[in-house]
Amino acid sequence: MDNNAARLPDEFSPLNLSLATLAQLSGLKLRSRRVVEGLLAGEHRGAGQGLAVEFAQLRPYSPGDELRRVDWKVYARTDKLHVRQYEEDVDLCVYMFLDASAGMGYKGESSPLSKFEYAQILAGVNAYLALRQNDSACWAASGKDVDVSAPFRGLNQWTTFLDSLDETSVTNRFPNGNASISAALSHVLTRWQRKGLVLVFSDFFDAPESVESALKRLRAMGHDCRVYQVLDRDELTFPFNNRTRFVDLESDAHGLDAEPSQIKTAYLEALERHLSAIRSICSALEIEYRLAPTDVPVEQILRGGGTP
Amino acid sequence: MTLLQPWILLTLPLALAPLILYWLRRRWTERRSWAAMDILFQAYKTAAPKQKQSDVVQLILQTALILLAVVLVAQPVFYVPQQTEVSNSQTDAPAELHSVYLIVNDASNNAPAYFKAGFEQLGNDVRFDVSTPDSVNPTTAQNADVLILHGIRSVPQWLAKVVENRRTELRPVWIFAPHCLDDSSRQLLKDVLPPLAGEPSKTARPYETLNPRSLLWQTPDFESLAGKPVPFPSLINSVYESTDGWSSAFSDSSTILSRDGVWVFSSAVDGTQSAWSMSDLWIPLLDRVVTVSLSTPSTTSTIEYKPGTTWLSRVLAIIGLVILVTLFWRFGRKPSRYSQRERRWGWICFIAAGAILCVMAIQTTFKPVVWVKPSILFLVDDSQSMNLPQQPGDAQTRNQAMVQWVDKNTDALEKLLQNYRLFESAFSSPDAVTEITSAADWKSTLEQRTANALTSDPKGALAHGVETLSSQIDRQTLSAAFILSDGAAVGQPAPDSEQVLNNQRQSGVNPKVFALALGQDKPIPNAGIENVKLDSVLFAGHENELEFQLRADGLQGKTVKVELIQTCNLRSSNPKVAGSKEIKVPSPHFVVNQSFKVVPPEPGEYEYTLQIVNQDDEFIKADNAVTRRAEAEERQIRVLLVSGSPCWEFRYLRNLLARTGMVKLSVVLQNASKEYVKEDSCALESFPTSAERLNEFDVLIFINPVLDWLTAEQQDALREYISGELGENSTRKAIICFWNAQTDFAPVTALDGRLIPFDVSEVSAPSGKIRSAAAISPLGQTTAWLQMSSKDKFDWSTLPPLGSVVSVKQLKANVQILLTTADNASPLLTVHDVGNVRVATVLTDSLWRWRQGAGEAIYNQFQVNLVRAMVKPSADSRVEKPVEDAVVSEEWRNTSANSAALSELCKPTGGFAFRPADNKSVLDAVRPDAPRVRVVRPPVAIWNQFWLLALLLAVLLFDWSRLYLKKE
Repeated sequence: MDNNAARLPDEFSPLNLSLATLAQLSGLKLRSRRVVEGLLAGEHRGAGQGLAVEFAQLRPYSPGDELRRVDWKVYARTDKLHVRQYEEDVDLCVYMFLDASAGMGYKGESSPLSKFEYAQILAGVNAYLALRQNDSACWAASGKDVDVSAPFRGLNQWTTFLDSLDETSVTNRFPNGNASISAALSHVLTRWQRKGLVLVFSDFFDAPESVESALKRLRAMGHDCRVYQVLDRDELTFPFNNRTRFVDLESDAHGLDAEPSQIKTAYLEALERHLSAIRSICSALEIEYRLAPTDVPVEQILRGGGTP
Repeated sequence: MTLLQPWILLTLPLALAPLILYWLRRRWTERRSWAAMDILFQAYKTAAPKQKQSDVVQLILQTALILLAVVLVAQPVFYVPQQTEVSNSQTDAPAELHSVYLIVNDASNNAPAYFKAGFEQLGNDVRFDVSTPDSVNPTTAQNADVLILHGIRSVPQWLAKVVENRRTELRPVWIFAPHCLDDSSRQLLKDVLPPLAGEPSKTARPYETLNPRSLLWQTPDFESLAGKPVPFPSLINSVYESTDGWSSAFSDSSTILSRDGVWVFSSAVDGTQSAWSMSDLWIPLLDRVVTVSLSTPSTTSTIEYKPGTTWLSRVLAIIGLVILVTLFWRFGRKPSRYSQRERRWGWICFIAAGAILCVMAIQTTFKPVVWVKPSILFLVDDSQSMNLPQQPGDAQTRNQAMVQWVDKNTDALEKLLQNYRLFESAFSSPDAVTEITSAADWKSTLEQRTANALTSDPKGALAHGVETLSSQIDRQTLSAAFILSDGAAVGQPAPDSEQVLNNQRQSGVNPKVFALALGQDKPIPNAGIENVKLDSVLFAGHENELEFQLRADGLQGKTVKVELIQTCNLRSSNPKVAGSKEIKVPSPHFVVNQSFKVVPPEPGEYEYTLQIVNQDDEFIKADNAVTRRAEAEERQIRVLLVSGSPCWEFRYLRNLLARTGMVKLSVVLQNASKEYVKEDSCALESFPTSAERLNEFDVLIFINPVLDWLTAEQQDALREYISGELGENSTRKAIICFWNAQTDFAPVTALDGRLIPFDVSEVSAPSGKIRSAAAISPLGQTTAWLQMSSKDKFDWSTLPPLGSVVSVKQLKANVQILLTTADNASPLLTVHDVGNVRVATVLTDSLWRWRQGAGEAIYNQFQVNLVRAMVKPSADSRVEKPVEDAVVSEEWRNTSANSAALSELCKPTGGFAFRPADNKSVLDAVRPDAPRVRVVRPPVAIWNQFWLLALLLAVLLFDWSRLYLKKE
């Protein structure tokens, strides 16, 4: 673990995770709340029963069952053949979906990182947790194109995971610039057939309907899901005073001249409505929702301490 | 109501400040990339219209508030006359002034004369009646167009009723110097007088405050008035200063108060208490007051600086407060664009603005009260007489004695400096008062100062020193003045000293005067020669007179010997004593005029030195010898004087030239009988008939000649004389012509038109009653022989006026003008060259009028100089000139100190004079532990303060200006 954490300090990258940061994650484990599918035996409950130590149930013998699974003691007592079944423990596949649209590139004047950089760190740390417990992890980033990585397994693959993640950057989502997160996620889910834990990192500045559609599809495929809404502090507080021309990061064609002091209240109210809508969608779909302001330490976010 | 009012015009642009700031803010836009644009658009759609409305409302409110403040500052425009039921046809034209009734306390006062002269100058045909309060004609007082009460003490009840009736009818009543009224009269006239100090006013501000500036602001002719040498601001200031002293009589300090036709002037117009009557502004001010007083009520509403009514002020204040409350609400509501701290400051600003607005609306005045140190003024005599010995025969001068006294008093002065402010002023520069900060430094300054001023007038120095200091400090604080002087005054004291002192006393400046009397009251032994007069051109072989004045001080009983030393420079001859006189001095101050006969033996340059010999005991020896240079010439100037008739000019000029030694005179009197030729030794039988004969004369003088009478031969001879066809060896000739205004120039033109320096067609018709004084032209000022006095610039206007003058508008080319008439309308003396002749033309034959009064010497000098100058115009050294330089200082003419004069200055004030030998200290005169003086400064009208408006503007623009500064 030490070797993996000790990356070159002079290399600028948001993924330069320090030992101190990783040390603070020692007690954390990445667990799925649902049954997942795994190729290897692991810490997570698999979808089928297998050979394991944890007894699951007895079921009447049916032809074709392996005789070695017959519980002879029960047969002796009941004169009926029963097969002993055990719960199957499988490894977890953690999918990380990063919104790499241009809007995620926003970085406030007082913020240390842009939203995308912060999402990269969050993804990296989650990958660390997954790989440490012998789970597999892979990522996808949707910007102009959708990049999907191969699964990584084992802690020795963590740096490779980080390197691959570090190569991504924010771009306009699609050439036409008007595709939603729903379309991007649908595209990715065709590659992620195996049930696992899907972590979504985005600012969710899309229409709530589009977000709901994407998450529903994700849940329908049986994935467990966790949502990180990454926002800059400026977006949460709107601290501007001077008259400003706001230009859309997604498209320079959109702009608005406004007196920040005049629209601040209305903006905060609209933002709160939007966040509430996202939270409601997640709650309805039994998806864990975490708000991740970019000026809050990642370990605090992972421990569920993000600013609501 | 007019908006063309200085305050409005000046402050109106300030109201644009919110708009400008708003515009500037809109211009400055930051660019920011933003992700949550959909949310932003939603917010903008919801909030922007409402916020825009709010901003526009705030903009309007702030602008309105500033406009309101501007109006408050310049609120006189809102004056609403009480009676406005006047038809429009009457509003613009003021009533005419036909009768003025002046009631003065003392008929011998100067005021009636000043008023009468003023109304006469205004060009009104005014019936002007004057009476005292005891002999008032009630009907006249009631019906006069203007009723003036001037400095009266007691007002009968019926007269008060008359005044009240006139006020009700809005008919002008002018009350000058109301402080003269006794208590009962003041009570009677209470309704037409402003409240006195301490009295509660019946209304908040019953009278409008005017001042000369406001009255004269729109005077059409004022610019032409200001075109005089005194610049416009000085004129205004002089009026302010002259009328400042009266303000202590009233709680509301002002110059002129006016209400409902009653005008109260704090000052009197008697030439002593007020400078109005002496200033150039008196007439325009009187004119303006007449115009405004007689205007109909609605016309008076257009006068600037009329204050608003009280109710209007309150309404304005209420409106302002409502606007402020609205701004409070807008500023204080939540959520706010400001931080908590900024909001706190914003509240403070808006509350301050409200307070300022209330203060401005209520229009209070405040009198600053300060406690200041009393002041002492030291007046130091720095005249040359201070260089005289402290006592006859003493080595110590008066100046040194003064420094010694200051040295002795150094400790006392340092002690005084703890509780007093000490100032010093020199006699020679009473306008420069400097503060003494250290006694030792002051002593050093006195030691280094050279006493070389030529004037010493203790009274004048006191008056102007006190006046200067009072203008620099609070006048009440001047507690004492020390005069360090010998008291010896040269000449008369400055004429305005007494008036200045009186003015200062009336305005509360009455310091005790103490004097350090230096020197002794007996003269220092001294003899001197003064006023030496010797013609610069003498005639060889003839007696010439050298006049001088011998002055002897402190030499009574002794004999002073004066010698005249003659030196001929051309021959380098040794000086020789040409004369000697011994004069016995009978009295301590002896002045006597003496003369020597000077006979230069031959032509050449001579030096004549007058010197006093053998006076070893005198202190001043620089005045013992005076030297004059002169040129002796061999022959006399040959003059032919031709006149048509024995007019006055002829008679005086003939006699003058006949007794002038340097002139050999011949006379032709054209219409005289043959007997005259026998009677007058100078007379010729006729005008010379040949050019050779005429050429014997250097100068021809024509006084109104009748040239028609000359024969053809005589005319040819004169023509040849003028044309200069007399051969190469002929000398320069000259013709001097005196023309009468009635002269027919046709014969002159026919003879030789070149004699006349102007075109005859340019001569205006003579006016029978022209009486014109003479004035010197710029060229004349540079002409040596016209310098009648070597000491001062001669004032030609002091000469008696001349009779009729030939009125000429256009002169020929190359004609030089030396003298003109005083109004510069016509030349009086011109010079031009014609051929070999220099022609001087005097355009009047009444120069003899200069002989009247003191002008005789000037007449003689002028005529003789004219003849000399014309013969040899370049030889100015020949021209007679009086004494060139004052070798003897005026200060030394009277070497006695005058302690009595100093005592006379001190005693009326409670002070005293003392000598250095008295060993009196400065602490014997003033208490070293004097308490500070309570000074009530003149009331300051808050509502009229521009800085208050600026402050209001600043606090109202707090939010925008804050953002502006932040942006910067």
